[in-house]
Amino acid sequence: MIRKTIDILTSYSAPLKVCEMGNVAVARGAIEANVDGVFSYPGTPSTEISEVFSHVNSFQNRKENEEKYPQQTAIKIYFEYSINEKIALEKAIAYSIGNKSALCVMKNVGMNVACDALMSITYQTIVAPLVIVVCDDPGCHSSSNEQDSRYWGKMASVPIFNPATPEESLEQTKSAFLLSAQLKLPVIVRLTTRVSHTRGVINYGKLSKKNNEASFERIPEHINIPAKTSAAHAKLLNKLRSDFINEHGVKYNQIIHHQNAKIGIITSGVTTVYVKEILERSASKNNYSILNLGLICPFPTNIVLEFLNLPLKKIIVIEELDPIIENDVRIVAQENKIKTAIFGKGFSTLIPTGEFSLDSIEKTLLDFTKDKTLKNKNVSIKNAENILKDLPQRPPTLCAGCPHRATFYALKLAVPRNIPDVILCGDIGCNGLGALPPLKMIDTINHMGMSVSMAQGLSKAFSTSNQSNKTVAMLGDGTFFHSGVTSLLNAIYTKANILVIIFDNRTIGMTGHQDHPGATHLNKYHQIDLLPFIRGMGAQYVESIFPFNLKDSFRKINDALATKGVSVIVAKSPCIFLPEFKDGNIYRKKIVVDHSRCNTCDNHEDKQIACARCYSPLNNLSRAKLKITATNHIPAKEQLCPANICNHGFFNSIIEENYPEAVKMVRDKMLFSRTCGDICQCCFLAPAEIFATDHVNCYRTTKRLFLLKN
Amino acid sequence: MNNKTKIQVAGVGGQGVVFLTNLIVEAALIADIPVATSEIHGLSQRGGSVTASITLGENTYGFIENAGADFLLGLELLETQRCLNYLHKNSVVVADNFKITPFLVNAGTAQYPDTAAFVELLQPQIKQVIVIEKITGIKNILRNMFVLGVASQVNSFPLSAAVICKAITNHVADYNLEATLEAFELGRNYCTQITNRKS
Repeated sequence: MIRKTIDILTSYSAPLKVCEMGNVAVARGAIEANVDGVFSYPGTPSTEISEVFSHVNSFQNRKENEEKYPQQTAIKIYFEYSINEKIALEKAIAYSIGNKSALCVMKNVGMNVACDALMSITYQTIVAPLVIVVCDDPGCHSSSNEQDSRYWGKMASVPIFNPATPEESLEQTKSAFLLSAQLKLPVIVRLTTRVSHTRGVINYGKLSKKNNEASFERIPEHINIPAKTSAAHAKLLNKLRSDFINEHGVKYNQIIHHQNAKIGIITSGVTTVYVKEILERSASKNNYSILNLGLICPFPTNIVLEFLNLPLKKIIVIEELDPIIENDVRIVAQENKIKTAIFGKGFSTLIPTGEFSLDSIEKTLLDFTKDKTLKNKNVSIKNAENILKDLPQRPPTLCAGCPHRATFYALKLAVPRNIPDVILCGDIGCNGLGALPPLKMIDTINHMGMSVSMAQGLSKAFSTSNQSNKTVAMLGDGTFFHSGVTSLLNAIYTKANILVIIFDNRTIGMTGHQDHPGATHLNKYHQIDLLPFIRGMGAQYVESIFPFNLKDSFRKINDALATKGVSVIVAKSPCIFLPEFKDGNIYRKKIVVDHSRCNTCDNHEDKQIACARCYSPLNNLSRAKLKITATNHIPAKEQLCPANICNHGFFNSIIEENYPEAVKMVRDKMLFSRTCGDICQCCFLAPAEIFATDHVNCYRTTKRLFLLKN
Repeated sequence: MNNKTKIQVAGVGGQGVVFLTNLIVEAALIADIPVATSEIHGLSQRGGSVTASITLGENTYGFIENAGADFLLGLELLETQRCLNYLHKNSVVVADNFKITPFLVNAGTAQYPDTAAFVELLQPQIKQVIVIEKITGIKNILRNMFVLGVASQVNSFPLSAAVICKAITNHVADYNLEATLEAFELGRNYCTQITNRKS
């Protein structure tokens, strides 16, 4: 990582050839364009852009590096993970107004959060260049919708670059900074998953050493009042007619015409390379003329018209998601009375949903051109589809040892799932994995922060009936700071009757452990303590729990449910990937069952009976409950099974060398334990090596057995 | 068009799919072969499937179509099977006989597929299937290097062992370098054993 960070900060007079992701290319493009500050909120598929700058930031701020790498640390690039996309964009705008160039990074749905800031700054002015990178996710690999964020650029009347490859991502990001400076307008670079996460050969070029001096000029444009806005709107639209746009358009909007071509293809984004690769197969390449569009907003009418005027018989527009380019092409054709037939969405495999692929585009091109030479000539495996259909899926799960699982389990004991009016509203992120089996502890998931709103809205809807149970909202700490805070304020202010559980693992887990106000793992920021903060808001019941202390968690959840009004529980335990978890005593604690003190199971002397093996039906967790309410409990810190489901049944089987039995327990029950989870899910991660008890060998043996027997 | 090679890598998060991909990319850069990749590893940290597509040569951009993979490097057997649609008559499969059961299988709601049947199905249909029966003497995390070592012995593999070794040297931290090179070397020797046995 260090090497990559140094590379990306280095100026090369002879270009350095590297093979990098589209996201990294964007970052390098911004650095080559002299970016001063980066503001972002993490979210797949955009996260790697922010991570580059996060690494750059910590690299440049290390004292020893200033001496060792003077060139790479001379110009410091500011970076922050803001609490949400709106704040990120607002701060980036302000940074630009202070005459420092800014990059603002987010995923597709992040743009929705940030749009308030975008929609009016365009009527005003920025000072230093401001580029917004937004990464769409056709096919929803990891998003809550597959919106087409090109609409945002059109709606806000800002230029949009839409690169097709990592190489273009670098070039177009650089151009975006230049164009933004020329127009004094934010510029959007829009990527999709297949551009962000594709790697290709790019060249790192020269860096110029320019540092913008901060300044602020008192100009009327900085004050947005209704009297001015209409005129400002006209001025904005005028910016989009600037000659500067054509200068960039010439580079990225190109026609590849062949003299006798009869068929025209218009592409943009990743479809450009799909089409290129498939046409390469053709025996009659000269039959096709192609128009590639990279700078798509404002719509490049001139070049499109030039293409439409070519002597082509028919034209197809191939773009992922919505027919945005296609519709404008049709307008240009209609305005200019062009008779060439135009095809697009609805033709063959061209649908507005999901992701395209080489295969789907091959089908479209075969149907459109009837050119059989385009077909892949390789002989495929017989019956492959049917075999694939029967393979078991490998869905993501909460990690072995994840504290969230313990919290979910405590809740499961407190709120049996057969009570219909206790509705569990989950949220985005790792928390959402609780919806999957075997936990199934979530009834609703919507967008970031919605859980708290969903709970208070549902609770209000049921308030006229005789329902007395609370609705429960569950969200991670990252999501809480992102947008749960305002919703919680609203709940307290409107006297809602809800329980909010904040799964506080001290980080933004799902996207790879980024900073947020509650994080403790870096000293760079001021840490905000959730408890006093929420108490200060005025919630009726605010308590913190250590999820692995099941007894205490269970009791507090019950208390919280019984208190009328807004109850908040902060389930606090670090994510297992955080250094504070690994360095803390939780992880290195030896697993020992102290038989003299253990009284959690009535049958603890009976090696034949193991709770882990006895099946607890969905709504009958009485046995586990019995243990929680037992008086002599193993202190939480000494037992590592959060459910306190009898570990020694499992241990005993191992001690007796009854490995198949032990394995069966793990399988049947998915023990909610750090130790057992280690076996049932991530065998190869093997943190068991850290445990220095005799049990370790047993675990290993079991594990081996487990792997071999399958 | 014939100078293109497409390599699919499949495994589970934590097995080193991305690392293996990085090495192949690095080796291609050293050998001055145009290279591109496309990866899906959204939830890999949480035990999900991870695949990477690598394409070498001109006019190809990291994407593999159905029946488009010349090589399939499988680090886990179920995930290897999941890439069946990418194989064609001239494909070479190098698969580690290593299983990581998904929790649906652990929970008893799904069956781990019959791997012997899978190999039987493949053998007559594609050019070569190498299932690595047993790997001993290296850490699990280096099994990916072993697989790469085996693959590099196949005639049509586009990258030479020398280039790959150089890539490993460039890419791997010093404290791990020796073990990594050793795993790769063991993989190479494994393949000679196989060929010898056949002849």
